[in-house]
Amino acid sequence: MDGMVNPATVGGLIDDRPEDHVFRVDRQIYLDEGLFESELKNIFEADWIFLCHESQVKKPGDYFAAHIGRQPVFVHRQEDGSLKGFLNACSHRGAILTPFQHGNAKTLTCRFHGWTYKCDGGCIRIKDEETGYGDNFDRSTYDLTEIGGIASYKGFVFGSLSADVDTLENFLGESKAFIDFVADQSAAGLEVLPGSQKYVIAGNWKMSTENAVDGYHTSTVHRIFASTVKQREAREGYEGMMKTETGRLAKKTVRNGCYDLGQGHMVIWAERDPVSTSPLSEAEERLEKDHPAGKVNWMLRRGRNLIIFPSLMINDFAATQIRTFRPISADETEVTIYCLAPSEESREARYARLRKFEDFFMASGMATSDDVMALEATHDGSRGRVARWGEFHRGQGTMIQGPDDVAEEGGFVPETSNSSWDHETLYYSFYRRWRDQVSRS
Amino acid sequence: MDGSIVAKDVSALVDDRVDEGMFRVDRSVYTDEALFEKEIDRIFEKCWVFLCHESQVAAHGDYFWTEIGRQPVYVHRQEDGSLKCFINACSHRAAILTPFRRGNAKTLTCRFHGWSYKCDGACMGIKNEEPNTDKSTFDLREIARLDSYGGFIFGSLSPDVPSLADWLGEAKPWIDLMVAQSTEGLEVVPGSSTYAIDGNWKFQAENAVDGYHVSTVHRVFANTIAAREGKGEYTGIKKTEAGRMAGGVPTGCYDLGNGHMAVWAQHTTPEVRPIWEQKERLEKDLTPAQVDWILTKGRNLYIFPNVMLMDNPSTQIRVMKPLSAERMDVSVYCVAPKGESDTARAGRLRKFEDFYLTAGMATSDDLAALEDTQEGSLATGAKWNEFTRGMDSIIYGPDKAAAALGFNPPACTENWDHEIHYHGFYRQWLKMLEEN
Repeated sequence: MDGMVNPATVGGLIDDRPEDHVFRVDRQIYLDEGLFESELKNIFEADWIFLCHESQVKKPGDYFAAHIGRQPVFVHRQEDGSLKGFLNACSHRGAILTPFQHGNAKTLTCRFHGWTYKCDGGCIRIKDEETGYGDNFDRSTYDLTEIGGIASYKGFVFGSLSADVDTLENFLGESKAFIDFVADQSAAGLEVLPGSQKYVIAGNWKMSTENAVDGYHTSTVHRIFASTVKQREAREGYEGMMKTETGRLAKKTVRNGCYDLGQGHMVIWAERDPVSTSPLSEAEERLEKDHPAGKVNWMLRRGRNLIIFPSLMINDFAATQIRTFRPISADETEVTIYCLAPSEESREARYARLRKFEDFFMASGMATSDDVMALEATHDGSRGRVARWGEFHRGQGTMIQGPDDVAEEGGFVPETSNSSWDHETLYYSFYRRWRDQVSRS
Repeated sequence: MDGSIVAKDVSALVDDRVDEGMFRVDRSVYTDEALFEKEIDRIFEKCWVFLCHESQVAAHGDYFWTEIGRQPVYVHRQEDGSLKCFINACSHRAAILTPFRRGNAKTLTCRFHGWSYKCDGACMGIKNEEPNTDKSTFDLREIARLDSYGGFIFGSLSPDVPSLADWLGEAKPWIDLMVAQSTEGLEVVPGSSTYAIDGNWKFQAENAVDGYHVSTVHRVFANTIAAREGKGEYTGIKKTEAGRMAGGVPTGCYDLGNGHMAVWAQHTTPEVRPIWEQKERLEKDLTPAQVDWILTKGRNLYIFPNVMLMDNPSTQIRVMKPLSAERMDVSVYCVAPKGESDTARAGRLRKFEDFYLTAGMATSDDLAALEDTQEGSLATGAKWNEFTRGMDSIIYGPDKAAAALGFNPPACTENWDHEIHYHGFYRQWLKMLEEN
C-alpha cells in the first residue's frame, strides 16, 4: 500500500491504553510505504544502528560493508587500531568502493574510474589527475565522507549517520546488561565465526523484531522442531552438549519471563533444562570464580533473546547468534545471521554450538523456516483491513513496573517485568518509541 | 527513494557554474521515483525517441514493437513502402497487438477478443459485430510524428517537436560516418540481446560516452584479449585493437548540443577493423576527413535520450528503455554495412560478441560498475557527482578534428577522459524538465 498514512497522524495507529487493558497496533503499520519512508528517515537513518562485530574487523585494513537504513556504509580498521565508518560511495561517481562485503585492504581503489582512498578516507590518487584538473586542484576535497558517529560496546560496533545522537551507552541503556551476559562469557572476548547467511522475508521488518522476542509462538511453531530433534537424539544417542535442550519448547515447567527494557529494547528468557546441554556449561567453574552468582545464572542457566531497537537481535538459546533485520520495503526484509562464540572454548563445545546453530537458526535448518512461514502469513493477513488491530494485551494482569526478583539478581532495571515469555507487555516501549520517532516530520 | 524531490526545485539538482569551475549533479537524480515520473512525462514522451532501423522493417507488413518511454508502440511498413507507427494497444481492451517483438503481418488480429486491423491501422474486423457499428471509430491510434535519418527511425508521441533533422543537429555527421560505410546502406544483423540493469537510465547515457572508465573497467578485457591473441590464433581482421584501452592515443569528447554527446579515440591498428577492406572505395567516394574519421577513429555517439551508435571494436545500436528510477532495459544490435565480405562480417560479429554482449568480456564489467554506482548513490550524505574533469581545456566550438569533418559542437576537449560533454546532456535534461 502506498503512503495512505500521513506520518503526522501515526499516533492513532498505536492504541496505547494499558489503564483500560488495551494495547493494540493498527496493522497498517506493516504495510504502508509512506510510513516506511518515515521509518527509514526517522529511525534507521537517525539512530545508532548495529554495523558489525569487532572480530569481523580485527586487523588494520579489515573492512566490513553494511547499511544504515538504505545507505551503504563501511567500517574500516585504522592503522592505529581505531575504527572509522564511511559512506560507501566513491567521491567521483558514487560507486560502491568495497570489492566484497568484508575483506582486508589498506587502500580502496574504485573499480569504475580507479580513484584510490587510504584507510583513513583520504583521497590519495585520481587517475590521470594532471590531465583533468587545473593548477589549484585540491585532492582533499574528494576525501570520503565519514558517518556521523561510530562507537562500540563490548565488541558490538554501531554507527549513526547523524552526529546528533546520544552516546551509544545511553542509547543501549538497560540492554547493556544483556550484552554483558554474552560478551563476558570468555575473558578473550567473542568472535563471529566464519560464514553467514542472508535471506529475504516477504514481510515487514517489525514482524521480525517482534518474532525475535515472542515466546508465545514457540510451543506452536517450533513444536515440529522439538519433536524432530527428540526423535533424532533418541535414535542417534546424542549426549551432553550435543543434546538439544528442547525442554522449554515442549513443557511449561521451566521458569521464563519477559522484560521491557525501556527505549524500545526488549528481552525474553527461559531457564535451561538441563544446563548441561549448553556449550558454555564446560566453563561453569571459571564463570563462578570470575562473576557474581546472579550474573552466572543469567549467563549460563537462562537462555535469552535480546532485541536492541530497532533491528538487532542477540540470541543465546540453542546457540549464540547475531541477527540483523534490514528493511528493504514495507513488504520486504533482508535478514543476516552470524554464529557468535566465546573465543576460548573447547573443540567439542564449538562443534556442538555450530551444529545447534545450523539446526535452529539457519534458513536451511528446522526452525527458522517455520518462523519465516509464520511471518509471511502474518504479513499477508495484515492486508485484511477490516480486521484492523493487532492486540498486545496478553499478560497485562501480571505485568509489574520495574524489576522482578531475577532482574534484581542480574543487576538491571527493566521498565516492566512479566512472569511469562508468552506475554506481550514487553513490546510497549518499542511501539511507543516507534510512534514518537515516525511521527516526526 | 520515493518522491522526496517532487516539491523541490528541480533546477537545484544541477549545479551549473562552469564560470566558477564547477558543474555537479545531485545524486538523487538517479534514485528519486517522482523525478523519474517527470522524466517519462517531460522527456521521453515529449521528444524524438529512436524506434528501430529501416532494415528491421524492410518489407511490406514488417512490424517492430518497441516503447517510447513506457508506452508500447509499433512501426509497420505499409504497402506503398512508407512507414506508420501506432500505439500497440487493441482499441477494445488494449491488449498488445503484435504477436512478437518483430515479424511480418499484413493484418493484426488481437489474441484477446479477435478484433483485427489492417496494416494502415484501420479496424477491419470486430468479432460478432453489432449492426450499425462504425468500425472507423476503433481505428488504431497513430503516434504524432515519425521520421527517419540515414535509415534510423525515430518517433515522437508529441506533435510539438522540431524536425528530426533539426533535432539531430550536429549528431548527423556522426550518423553519416556510419551510413557511408556501404553504398547499399546498413543492415541490422539478425539476433539481439536484451538485459536489465539495476541502475538509472542516465548512468547508461553517461557510460556510453565515458572514456575515463575504459582504462580501469576494461583493463580486464584488454589483458584477456592480449593473452588470447598472444597464443597466435588471431591474426588480421580477427585481432581486436586494444591499444586505445591503455591510453596514450589521441582522443576527444564533444557536447553536440540538444543533449547529444560523443567521444572518440584513435585506432592504433586500424587495419584490423572490418571496414579496412573498403579503404579504396571510401577514398574514392568520400572526403579525406570522412575517410580518416571512419577508418581511424573509434567512435561512440549518444543521441538524447535513448540510443547509442558505437563504432569501436564492432558496430552497434544500443537502445535503452527506462523502467523505473532504479532499473532499465538495454537492447543491443549489431549493425553492419551491407555487402561486406564474409571475412569482414565474421570479424565484426566475433568482436561484437567479445565486447558488447553481456556474455562477453567487457559489458558485464560495465554493468557491475553501473549497479555499484546506483547503490552508492543511496548514500545521500555524499551528495554530488562532479563533472569537472577537463574544465580548463574546454574549446567552445570545433577542435581541429571537428573542423576537418565539418561539424560544430557547442563545446569539446581533446581528451575523452574529460567530462565537459555531460554539461550539455544535463542542461538539455533540465531544460526539458523545466519547460515541458
